[in-house]
Amino acid sequence: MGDILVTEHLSVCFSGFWALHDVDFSVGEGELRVVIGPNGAGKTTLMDLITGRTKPSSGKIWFGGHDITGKSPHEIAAKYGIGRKFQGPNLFENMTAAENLELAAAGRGTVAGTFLRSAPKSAAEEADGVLRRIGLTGKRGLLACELSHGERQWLEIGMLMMQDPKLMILDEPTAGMTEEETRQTGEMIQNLLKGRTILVVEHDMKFVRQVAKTVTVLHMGRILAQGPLAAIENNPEVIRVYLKSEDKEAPKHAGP
Amino acid sequence: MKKLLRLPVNRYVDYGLFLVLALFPLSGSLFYTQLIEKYLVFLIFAYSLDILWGYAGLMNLGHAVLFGLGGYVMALSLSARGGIPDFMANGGVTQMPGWLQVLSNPAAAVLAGILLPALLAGLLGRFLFYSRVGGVFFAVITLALAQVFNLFIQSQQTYTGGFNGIGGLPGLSLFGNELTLTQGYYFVFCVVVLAYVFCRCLMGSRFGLVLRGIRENETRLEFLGCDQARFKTAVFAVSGALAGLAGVLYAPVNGMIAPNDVGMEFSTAVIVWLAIGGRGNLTGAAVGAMLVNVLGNALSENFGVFWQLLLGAVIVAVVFFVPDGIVGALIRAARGRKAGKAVESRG
Ligand SMILES: Nc1ncnc2c1ncn2[C@@H]1O[C@H](COP(=O)(O)OP(=O)(O)OP(=O)(O)O)[C@@H](O)[C@H]1O
Ligand SMILES: [Mg+2]
Repeated sequence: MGDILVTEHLSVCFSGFWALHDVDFSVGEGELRVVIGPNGAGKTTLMDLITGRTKPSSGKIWFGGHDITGKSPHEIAAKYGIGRKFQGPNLFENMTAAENLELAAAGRGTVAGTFLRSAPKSAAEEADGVLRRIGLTGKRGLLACELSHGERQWLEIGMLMMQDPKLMILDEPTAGMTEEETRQTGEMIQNLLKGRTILVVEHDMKFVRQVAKTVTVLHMGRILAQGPLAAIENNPEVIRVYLKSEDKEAPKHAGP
Repeated sequence: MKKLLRLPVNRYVDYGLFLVLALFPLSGSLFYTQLIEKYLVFLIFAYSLDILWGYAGLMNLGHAVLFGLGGYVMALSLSARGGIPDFMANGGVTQMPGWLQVLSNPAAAVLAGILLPALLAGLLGRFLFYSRVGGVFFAVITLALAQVFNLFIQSQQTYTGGFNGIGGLPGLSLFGNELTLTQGYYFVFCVVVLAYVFCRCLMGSRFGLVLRGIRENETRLEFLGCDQARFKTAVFAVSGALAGLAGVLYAPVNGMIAPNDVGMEFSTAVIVWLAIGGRGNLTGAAVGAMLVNVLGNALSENFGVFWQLLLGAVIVAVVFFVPDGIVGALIRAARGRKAGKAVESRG
């Protein structure tokens, strides 16, 4: 299997601080990769670079054989097919759950294409299907801001389902969820894998054990280790910088 | 019937308002019919700002520029029907300029009065939104533009009538026949209804959905693959066309146009209408425009010079106590009740 995403010597510097330093990172097509690492390791920054939110100071990003370095977010999303759930809630708060989903598929094409009364029937059915899969059928008419924390996270995953990207990036999808919700989310993500590649940033080790095969550990802007979950969990260096503190505090933080 | 019952509450307000407006000439007062006819034109202007500011969240502080552009084009056209207009002759123009000859054709004037503002807005959007000028900066730039446009109109005395504007315009006419007041009223009313239907359809489409998405969370939308600059430019152009249409009607309905109608003052007025009525549902724009103007008129009749003070107090009170406007508050109240019912029936 070829690599769908490759970064070469990727670095980014925020006014003198190297948030990422010479990162060579690659993800195989169809893979579900989990990225872990302590707070401030640069996980979100890496996702920002891939999706065009931040421009790298140096290095290149390749996706599906195309150079996407420095391209705009909407081009990366629409043309190349990379979708992203942000760390922390990022919804259309005053719109209904159904509208959030519709919107996820609406803005990609031309302006004129959106003048038609409504989405093609298939898209409306798709939204219904997604609502069912994320368990929000009964709440389709509620505003996003009226949903519970877990439901809002699922709505975001639903929006990604509607967007149907080749690469799905999920930044802390289970933050703030109960144990049961976290497990359900894990199942949801595994079901999503069919026919696409998924990149998950997560702190919850229980969740990581549920979904992960290969894990990449970031630490201070560099890749500290990468490999099968079992090897990572026994890597003394990883245990020292990350896993020890992680298991002790078992943080379920919803970062900024 | 069932369908009618399921309508959002503000749609009843829309239809009720249209019913009242449709019946108004039956009151028999020519004076008030003429006044309300002018306010009908303002309704179109208010809709044009609502799709821009209410739906897409783009606050245009110089919206009257687009209105005025349409208005001046129409006023020039109307004043040139009988040869070179006086203000031009006074300025030393002895031969009708070619562009004015074209404009003296009513159809060409209507078209130009709608398309020029659309073009201006589209070009502005092309420059501003693609270079990521948004939010407050957009508002400030449009404000500056209003000022520049106003000065431009005033300085081009020979072609715009300068400070005095262009007056003595003939009333509405259709295919060469001058309309009576009542006919004119109903003609404008029909255009208002058409503009309303147009806005409803457009805002109810996925285009409208994307605009609301831009207002709500522009960044998120971009990561869903939406090129927001394109949508903003498009809505700005459509909004410009509608504002221009309002201006085109305004010139004959009001009988004159002056720099006041295109500058900051009138731009601020339409902002106030929307702030009072509520944004992003079309109803609020109409209610706000009608309410503020009717109230302003009533207050000026009864309280002389103090009316602006009183109106100001009312405006401040509404903006302070119901920040999402009268209709916004109404929708929220109805929604709250509905949500409450749903909870009851579940429990
Ligand atoms: N736009 C920015 N400007 C300046 N510094 C930034 C910016 N974005 C991130 N940083 C810094 O880069 C470092 C890496 O941040 P990042 O958000 O990538 O960490 P993370 O691994 O996602 O952490 P967490 O687990 O807390 O989400 C942090 O020290 C952060 O303060
Ligand atoms: Mg992060």
